[in-house]
Amino acid sequence: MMTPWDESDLSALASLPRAMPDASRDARVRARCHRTLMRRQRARLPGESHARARLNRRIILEMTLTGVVSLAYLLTVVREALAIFAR
Amino acid sequence: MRVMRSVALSPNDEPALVRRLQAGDTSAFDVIYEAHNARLFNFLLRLSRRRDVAEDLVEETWLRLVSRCGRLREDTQVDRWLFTVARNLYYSYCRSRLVEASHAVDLIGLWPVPAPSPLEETARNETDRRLLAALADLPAVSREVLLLVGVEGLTPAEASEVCGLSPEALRQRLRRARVQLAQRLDRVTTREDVSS
Repeated sequence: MMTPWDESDLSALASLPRAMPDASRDARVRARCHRTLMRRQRARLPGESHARARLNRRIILEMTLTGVVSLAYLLTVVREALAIFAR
Repeated sequence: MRVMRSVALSPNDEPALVRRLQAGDTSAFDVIYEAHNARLFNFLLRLSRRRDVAEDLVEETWLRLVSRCGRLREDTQVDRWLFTVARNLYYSYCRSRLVEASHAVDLIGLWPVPAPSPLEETARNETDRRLLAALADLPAVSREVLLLVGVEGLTPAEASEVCGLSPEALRQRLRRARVQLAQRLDRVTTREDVSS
């Protein structure tokens, strides 16, 4: 049986009607995406990166201090142990 | 329902828009959104055949773009990237629901006949309405290639990137989908002729 649509003709598909999401939904999507982009923009500001650099410096300092104290404690324990075994 | 056409975007504009998007420029996002939102929504609406699902997946696709835009390369073709993400989200959705409606119809034959989609209701003429009904009746894998190439105007090579197939595999799938569509269209026409 013949059809009104030729099997090899894809152009009929291109002219099909198009729809859009509801306007309220559209506005919500844009608002959410804009918020995400604004956060991204703020993260790139110089002020923000200075604050992040300060925080990183503080974290490194704290870790170094903890490491030094732990090492000193460990050395003391080893020295005491050696003294006991040497007797 | 609002019916509108999307704004065409020159491929030469895209690298600059991607750079601006990566810098958090909301106006660049708006330009990309205007250019591709209608296409994306219609692609997902015809693929999923459900307005609520299409709207959720479109929203998720845009959120993925803004949250992952830092990873885009300058030469990224935004429309292909969006269609790929949308398609993957749709198949993830199908997996999460375990069954896809079209398979359920074939398997158990008890599924209720789906109501006409919003697109079918707005079809301008009888031919459009029959074509939409035949398209909706196709398996998702056939429908997606026809939507990408026939409706969205992607070349078979571009569509193969979106679908994660080789260009040759996509051409074969497209050929099969065209035949299936012609058969479905024939069936729809015959059914309507008999009932009238």
